[in-house]
Amino acid sequence: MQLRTPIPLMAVKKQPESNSGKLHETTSDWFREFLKHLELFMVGTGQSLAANAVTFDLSLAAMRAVKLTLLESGMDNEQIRHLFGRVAFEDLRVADQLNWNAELNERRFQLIDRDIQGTLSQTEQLELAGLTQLMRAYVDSEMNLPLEGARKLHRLLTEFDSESTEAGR
Amino acid sequence: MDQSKTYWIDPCAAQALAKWKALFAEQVMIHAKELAKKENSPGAITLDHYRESVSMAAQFLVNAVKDSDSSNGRQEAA
Repeated sequence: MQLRTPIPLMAVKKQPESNSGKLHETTSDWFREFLKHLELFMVGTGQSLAANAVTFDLSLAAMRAVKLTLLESGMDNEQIRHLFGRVAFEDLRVADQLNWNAELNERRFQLIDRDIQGTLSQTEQLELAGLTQLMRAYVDSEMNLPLEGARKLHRLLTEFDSESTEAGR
Repeated sequence: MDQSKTYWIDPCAAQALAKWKALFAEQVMIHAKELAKKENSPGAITLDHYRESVSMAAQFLVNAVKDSDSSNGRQEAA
């Protein structure tokens, strides 16, 4: 079983400025397909649950189905770990912001040190994976582009071009 | 009817329901897109488009369920 429209996560993250607040058709299609497969997997992961299953058991079965659906969509275990780590440790109440800062950077280095020492717990492994994913997303984002420098260079080149044209006359 | 009685759901039934929901949603989207195209507003699909598409999508779903039901019957008979 394959998700019909495997879309890289980055492709659905950024919407055109003029349509901000709206859902792109491709995103909607992908989500619909994801939900279908999620429900189908939940039938499987829910079958072993007792009639008096508590919320934790139900949530665990649901999360297992999420993982199976992500695997089905073409992601590998490593990518899923990064994704889960990021979602587990980011503040979802802050709307779609990549808040990478010195504090998070320092925390990541601490975790890397402990990873090298072999003292990282499973929870910390997930945190490190999440922080790494968040950092990569920030590095790749427009927020991190040196736009001011690029504008300055463009200005200089434009001025240089017009000066040399005038000097050639 | 005994309200306190609980039921166990056949996995085939749960899977079928998930597929029907997805099929219905897909059909709503397809018809809504066609309506938006006809109105020369291909960039925007609205709630009104979805509302107008519901009856066609429901009819499609009813037919699809009937078809799968009869094909299952044929398979069982064979």
